[in-house]
Amino acid sequence: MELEIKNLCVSVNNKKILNDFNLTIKKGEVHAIMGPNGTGKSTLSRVLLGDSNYCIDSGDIFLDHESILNLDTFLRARKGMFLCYQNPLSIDGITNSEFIRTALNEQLEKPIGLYDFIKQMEQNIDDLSMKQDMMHRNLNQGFSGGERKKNEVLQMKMLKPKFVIFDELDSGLDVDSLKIVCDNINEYLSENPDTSVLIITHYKRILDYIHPDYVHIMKNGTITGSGDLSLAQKIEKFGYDEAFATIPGEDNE
Amino acid sequence: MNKIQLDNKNIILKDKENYLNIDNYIELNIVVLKNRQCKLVILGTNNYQLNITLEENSSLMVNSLNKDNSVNICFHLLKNSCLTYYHSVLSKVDSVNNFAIYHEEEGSQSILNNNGINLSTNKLFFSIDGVIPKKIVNINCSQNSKIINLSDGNSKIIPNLIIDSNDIIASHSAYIGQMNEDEVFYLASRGINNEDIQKLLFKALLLGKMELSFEREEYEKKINEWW
Ligand SMILES: Nc1ncnc2c1ncn2[C@@H]1O[C@H](COP(=O)(O)OP(=O)(O)OP(=O)(O)O)[C@@H](O)[C@H]1O
Ligand SMILES: [Mg+2]
Repeated sequence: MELEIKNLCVSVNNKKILNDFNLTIKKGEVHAIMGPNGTGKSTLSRVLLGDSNYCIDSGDIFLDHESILNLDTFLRARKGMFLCYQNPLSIDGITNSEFIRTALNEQLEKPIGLYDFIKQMEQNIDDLSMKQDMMHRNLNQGFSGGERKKNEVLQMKMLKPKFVIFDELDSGLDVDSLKIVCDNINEYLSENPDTSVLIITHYKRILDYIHPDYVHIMKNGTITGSGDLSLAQKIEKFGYDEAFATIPGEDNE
Repeated sequence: MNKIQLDNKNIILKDKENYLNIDNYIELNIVVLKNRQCKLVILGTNNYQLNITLEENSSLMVNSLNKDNSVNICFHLLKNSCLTYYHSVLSKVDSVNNFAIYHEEEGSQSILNNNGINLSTNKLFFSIDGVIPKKIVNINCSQNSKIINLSDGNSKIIPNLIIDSNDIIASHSAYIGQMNEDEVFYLASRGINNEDIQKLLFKALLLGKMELSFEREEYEKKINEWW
């Protein structure tokens, strides 16, 4: 699935957050965005899913060449967009399984049978080394930070999206869990090679597992430089300012 | 499961599990006997009045789901008794829910949770009086109320703690508002449409904390039918 973001300007409470943001992610490509705290990465991810708290001042977002600006959030999801949240929230009174089953049934013509659903859940929960009881617990209620992240990936595996945004997937996951989760994602991507991915991260480690085709630096709400995995290496070593200065051909002040 | 017969104005709870279906106006006295631990499930689609007494060292957990009705419920808590009450209401017409909790003897505890969804432009009131007289000590009295206003309804929560004693723990929380935006966005971002989001969140609010076993399925069905 191809995503194109064109000259996007976004504000919240009259505060500009995204500033002439441009990015194209082609079918099957993996892109990574790195950038300092508060630069607008999570805002971007929520805007892509249509969070109405943010005001689109100008620009456009295209999914497979069609503008999605007027689409409600649930319709964007049904088109295949999926956001793996930086801070997945918990909801008391809705079990994980009924939540995922409801979401799954919304995209199916015929509802999935309970038996098939449970089988799939059990398998995926196993693959992610999660505890089986998480299926029946309330959505993220009492889940640890890492368990919540795994639960997001579980949802991805069940709902089978075509464009996935991972917003700081690596935060909260211990080294072993990060590896398990990334193995699952890589397997998903090799089974669904048309899936496009946007990874938002502060650390190179996750990019060692899921290899990006492009790495972008984001600052003050816009992309200020792009490169390959070596750019992530530079950022880790020298910080954003110096890494930025080394990008050839950029108009750096 | 003990299906309570309604031809009797006085009910004595002895069994662990009790089920009460209120579809006619009724006034009822319920007594939980000394040292018993009982659970009562109520399905209310009409107005009713309950007088509930918890005898010494007894405990009662009530899970009550109501639609378009008004209730008056009065509790008398005797020594070391323990009440946990979940009262949930879904309403399209005026609904006034009055609770009075009398901590009559020491060591008694009450936790009252009111959750309501106001579907239309009607009234939905929760009025809760917690009364702890002089010299009644070692009391825990807690009240939590929440109303989701779906349109322009007139919703009110009126909590009163009337306390004349020292050694007590009392608390109340009240919230009236819309559905939680972040929760709505999270569910929508998984492709769930607005109607199903409402269903999920209503059910979560009305039944989420209740301790239901096989009645849960029936209650979920009711909620889907009712709104
Ligand atoms: N709903 C909101 N209301 C007010 N300010 C907001 C809102 N959402 C985001 N912001 C502000 O916009 C800026 C960008 O926030 P965002 O969460 O997108 O940053 P980020 O790049 O994801 O940072 P981090 O790396 O710390 O996760 C911040 O200054 C934040 O405080
Ligand atoms: Mg962020």
